[in-house]
Amino acid sequence: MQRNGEKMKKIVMLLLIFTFCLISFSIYAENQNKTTKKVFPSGVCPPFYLKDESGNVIDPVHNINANKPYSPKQTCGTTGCHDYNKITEGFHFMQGKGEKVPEWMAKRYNWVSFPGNYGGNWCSPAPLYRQLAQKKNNNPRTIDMTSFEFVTATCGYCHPGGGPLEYDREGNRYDEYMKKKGMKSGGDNGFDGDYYKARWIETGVIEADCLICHMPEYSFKERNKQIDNLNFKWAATAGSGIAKVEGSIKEGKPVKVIYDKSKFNDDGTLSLHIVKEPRNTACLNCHAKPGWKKRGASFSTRTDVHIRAGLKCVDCHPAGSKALDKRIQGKEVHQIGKGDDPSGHVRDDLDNTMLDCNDCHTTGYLGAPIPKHRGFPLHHFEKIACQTCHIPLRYVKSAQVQVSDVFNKGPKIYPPPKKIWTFYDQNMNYWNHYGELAMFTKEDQPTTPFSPVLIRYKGKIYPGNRVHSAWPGIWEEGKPGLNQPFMKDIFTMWELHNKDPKRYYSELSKIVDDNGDGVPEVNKPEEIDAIINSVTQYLKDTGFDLTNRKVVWVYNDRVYFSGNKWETLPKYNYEASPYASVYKYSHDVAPAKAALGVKGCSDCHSKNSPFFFAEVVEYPFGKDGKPVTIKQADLLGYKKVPRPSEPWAYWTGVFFKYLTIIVMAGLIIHMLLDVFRYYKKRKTEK
Amino acid sequence: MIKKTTQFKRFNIFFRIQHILMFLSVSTLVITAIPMWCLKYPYSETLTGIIDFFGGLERVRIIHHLAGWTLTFTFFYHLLYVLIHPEGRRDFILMLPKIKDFRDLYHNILYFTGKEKDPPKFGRFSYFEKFDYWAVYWGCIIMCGSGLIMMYPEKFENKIFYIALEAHYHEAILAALALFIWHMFNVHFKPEKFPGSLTWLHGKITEQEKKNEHPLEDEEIKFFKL
Repeated sequence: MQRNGEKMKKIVMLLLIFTFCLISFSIYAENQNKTTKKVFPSGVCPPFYLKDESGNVIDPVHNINANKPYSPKQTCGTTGCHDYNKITEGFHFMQGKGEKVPEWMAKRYNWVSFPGNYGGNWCSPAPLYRQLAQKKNNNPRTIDMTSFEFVTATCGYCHPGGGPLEYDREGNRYDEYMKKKGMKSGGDNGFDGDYYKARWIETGVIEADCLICHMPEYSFKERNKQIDNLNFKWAATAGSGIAKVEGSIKEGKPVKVIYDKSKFNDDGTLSLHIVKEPRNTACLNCHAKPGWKKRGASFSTRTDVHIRAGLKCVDCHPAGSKALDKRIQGKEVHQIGKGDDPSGHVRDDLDNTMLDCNDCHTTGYLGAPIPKHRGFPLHHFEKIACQTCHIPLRYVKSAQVQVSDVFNKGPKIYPPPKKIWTFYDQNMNYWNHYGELAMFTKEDQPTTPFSPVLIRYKGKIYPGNRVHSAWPGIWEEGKPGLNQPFMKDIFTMWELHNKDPKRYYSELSKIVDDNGDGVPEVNKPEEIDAIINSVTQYLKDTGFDLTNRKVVWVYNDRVYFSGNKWETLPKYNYEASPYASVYKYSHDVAPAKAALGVKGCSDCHSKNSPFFFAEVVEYPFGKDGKPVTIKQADLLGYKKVPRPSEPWAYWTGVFFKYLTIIVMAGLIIHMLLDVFRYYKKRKTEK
Repeated sequence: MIKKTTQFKRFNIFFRIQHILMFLSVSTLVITAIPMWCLKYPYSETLTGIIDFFGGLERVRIIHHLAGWTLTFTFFYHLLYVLIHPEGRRDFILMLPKIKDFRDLYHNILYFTGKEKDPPKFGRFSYFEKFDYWAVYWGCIIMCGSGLIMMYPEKFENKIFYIALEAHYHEAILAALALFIWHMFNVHFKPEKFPGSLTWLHGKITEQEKKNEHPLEDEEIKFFKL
């Protein structure tokens, strides 16, 4: 019995040890699995399952959840391998959302709620532009563009999802919050700037779509078709090309997903062509069009020496682990290295995180040639940006002037409200930008070479586009800046007037063409009065509250209260107007052999050179409708010889100046005394 | 009775060559410096027009550099002359400033103001000639040194370049003013001298000139065995 008892004890002990080992092994194996899941050593996405918004696997091969759109957040992020939250903190996703408006910006633009495209001052080069509604509103007349309309008003075409396309200003996911709060799709919803007339419950939200940038075959066209149809949550699925999406929330047709099974592996996983470094086309899908309008950029082998050399955008604009600047460095950090755009204020704290010319051209990084610049005095490099000499000419025009006070009758301008914008190019010729964009596309930009205007920005001279503007604004009592009427109001006012000029806002007929280019412009007192009075009348007619407000006309740095009464607005020297952008040119760099200075100093130091003596536009329309110009040197602020910035050099100059004064004074006194004595002596002798 | 035609050798051929090289190079430097000075005011159409008038900066700069090298050559030629040639050594020693020079200056001022009846008596070199000589020494060192730094900026720190730039610019003005006002006055426009002396060419002065301007020269140089 005792023996049996001992045997039993041994068996129990062995069982306990075995169980302990089994549990330990299981925990170890579990941890091993987790490690393998989190760190995939090859750096390439392994075959993966699609997931829906709830994290459930979508497997069209085995017909599991095959009718649901895939969720990038769940597939790549939350239940996948990547840190979705960290990635979507990037300014491409946030576009200013949640960022504090700098004080100077708040003082200028009364409508601004964030410094980026979302809630920012404007997207086009100058006002008027759609403005994001405040979160809280008392009546719909104060609402121009809600967060929902931010998606539909073409902003969503380029926005990669996440940020304000996914969460409201209080951090709630739009669709879930609407359900939770019992909001009505398309309803007033308390005039909330995120939910007024919004249909998030039906449309879903647009999560950050990784494949927009990381899948070369991604179809923007398909994605944006879904946005037009208000099929927000289906957009990523359609854009990726793995499924066909049919139906339309907008038209009330049920939306169906039909996955292309041929693109899936036998086990239901996907092995997509996903790249780590996005191709240039991924960036240009969004940056090419505005680059043309704002900077005359082409980003082509014809115009840019870097693209001709085969560089990728991300070579100079790196992110994540490839970034050199500590501010944006780190695994999966999606703050793309950026420059310092005088008029771009999203994440200004990350300015100059990209590689600049010196990073490659003084080190030879990526095979960059290291220039010697023989014969160039050093202060040229301290005072002049590389771009100034290496972008001596732009091949393609950009908008030097944007006025938003007359109606642009040019063809093919879409969407129609953009007809309140009239652009003029660098030669002050009328430019139907949107017509050209529709007709020629970026591939066939017409060639219009011109020498860039030079601006002095943060102590250096840059080539750039200093945009001029004219627009009807709203002066508000007790506020330092100005507000703007809604783009749609000015458009509708002109539409009505054009329909029946005698019946609607007849004063607008006073605005005529004075310079013979066939396009009317506001430049005379009676025309200024006409636009102010007409806008005032329209706003009153449509119930816009003008208490303690006045409609004004803003022309560059002048705010007109009437045709003859105006005040000057404070602005930076490099700006033509506090209410228009200034764009530096950095792309489309010419080969070194075409740079300024190659033909000698007279490329700049000659009366025939535009560098100092070009006539640049100060005001687009004078009394005769023709531009008022100033000398380029005056714009650069050359009024006196700058003092040497190096203290030793400064004091050397001071020493020599006083030495000259003292020595020459002594010598001249000596000479005068000598002459004086000579003639006195001769007189005495006589 | 002193014959007016009796002439004495004052400067030998080597010294005259040095002087000719110097005034040719310095005159060229001053003229070609004008368009470069205009660069200080790149925003002025008039001054930039002067650059264009000279045919552009490149041409002017090449000539300026050639003249600069000529001046540098002359400077070293003179140093060698002082080291090797007995007259060079003698004149260098006689050029050294002495207490007498300061006394002569004081005396001259009293003479100019009518408090002394006669001017001071000078030796081979008066104090103002010594001033000219040492000003050229100083000028050559500053101008050739800073000019070289400006020609090869990549070999120097930025700080050194900017100091050289300032020194070159300001010293050039001082040198040009001193040459064209002071030196030209003393050798050409001084009433007793007008319209000028040709000593720089033939190297001789008359007995009268010697008596008036360098009365103590013979006494001063008798110690030098040439």
